[in-house]
Amino acid sequence: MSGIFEDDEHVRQKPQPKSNVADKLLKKAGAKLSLVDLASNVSAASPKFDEIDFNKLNKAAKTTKVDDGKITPTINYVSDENG
Amino acid sequence: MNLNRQRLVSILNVLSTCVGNKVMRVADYVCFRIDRPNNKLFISTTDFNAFITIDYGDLTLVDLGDVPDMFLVNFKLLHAIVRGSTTENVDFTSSKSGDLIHVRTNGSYDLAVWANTDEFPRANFSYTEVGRWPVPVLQTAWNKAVVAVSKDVTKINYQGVNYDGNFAASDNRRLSVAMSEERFDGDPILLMPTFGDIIKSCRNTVSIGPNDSRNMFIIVCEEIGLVASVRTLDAKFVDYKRLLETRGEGIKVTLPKQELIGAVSRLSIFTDQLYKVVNIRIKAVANQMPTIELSINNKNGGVEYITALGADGITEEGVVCDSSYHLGNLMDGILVTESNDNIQMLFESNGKLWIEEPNYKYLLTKIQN
Repeated sequence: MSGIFEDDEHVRQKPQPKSNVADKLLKKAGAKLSLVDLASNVSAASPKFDEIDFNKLNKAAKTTKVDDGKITPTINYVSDENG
Repeated sequence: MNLNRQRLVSILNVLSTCVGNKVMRVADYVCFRIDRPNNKLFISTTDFNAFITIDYGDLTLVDLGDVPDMFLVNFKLLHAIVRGSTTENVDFTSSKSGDLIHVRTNGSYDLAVWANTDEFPRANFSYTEVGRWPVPVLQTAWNKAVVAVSKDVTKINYQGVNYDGNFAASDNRRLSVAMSEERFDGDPILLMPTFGDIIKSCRNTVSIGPNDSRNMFIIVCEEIGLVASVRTLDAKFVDYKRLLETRGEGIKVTLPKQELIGAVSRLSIFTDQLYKVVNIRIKAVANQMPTIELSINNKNGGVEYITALGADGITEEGVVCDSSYHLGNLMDGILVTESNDNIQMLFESNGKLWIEEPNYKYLLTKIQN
């Protein structure tokens, strides 16, 4: 079926390479460094958020997580011996 | 640690836009991180597509000695407790074993901590500013564009809003472009709809821009102490500017907006899961404003007539336009325009319908009969 840009069967595109040229043209933001620097967590042990491949994690998970908030009733019987 | 409850509720309300996912339990938790040298408390959540950190604010009078430097507790539980409480403050203390956080408001509550804090990711918000927007202007521009984002998960490049100074989105059936005079250098960025959820919470002005590797887009709102990182979509948006340039001449009509909304709403009653098509005809009569006929012809159907307030480009009498459109998509374009009174539409002879106002264009393609 034809769309305004292209036929639907050709819509999905391959990931694009990142451009470094544009980066060099842009200036660093200066005014917001204080909040940004303080809010950035530099703890060494945690995975870096921007390096996590979430799509890979999603695909690797064979089952979705279970809700462990389910309440399981426990019954406390009164012992005849003490009664 | 004793925090103001209202402030904490407002922070958790913002963080609720970005918490939990289907696969990772740690994403259900909210992270408290105390920066003791700077006397700061940062509260964070992530759904692993976006990461939000909010600076709690002034901690000068807060005793931070009775909790660890970093702890994670279940977001939903904490949010529900503090939202449902009536006390002025919320008190946090750690259990001796360290595996519980005692929360005290009207009552006392024990929340199990997430044992391995290292599983919660750390975010670096370093970025390059490409725009500084008044929040209402940014929200309006975003809201106009995002209506056209595709819900089809196989179309990566139609699943986001393209930012290149303008905000643009398309699902290959329609194009919605909110234009701005913001200067923008560099490659366009394709933003997830989560971006809009976050800016809804912002106030005053926000600064936005990509991180160094351009796989994240950073939002900074000093007014509420928010810093957020949203993943960008790894795809290239279509060349929408070329399409805008193809806009030709046609029949321009000005319609009473509220009357049009009412007509489209009533006709939408006759749509269903499969049938969503409205036919639009423009009928021209000499020395009179043209009449717009909107009709839907499903098993049941109906017709509405609206007299135009103004018209241009009509050169003959009779039916001068006869095309069909997706009714829901038509309504989206009408609703996001800002004027309460009038709406401008341009019908091209090839069936393209443009809904226009200053700095905004919404293009709708006709449905083949």
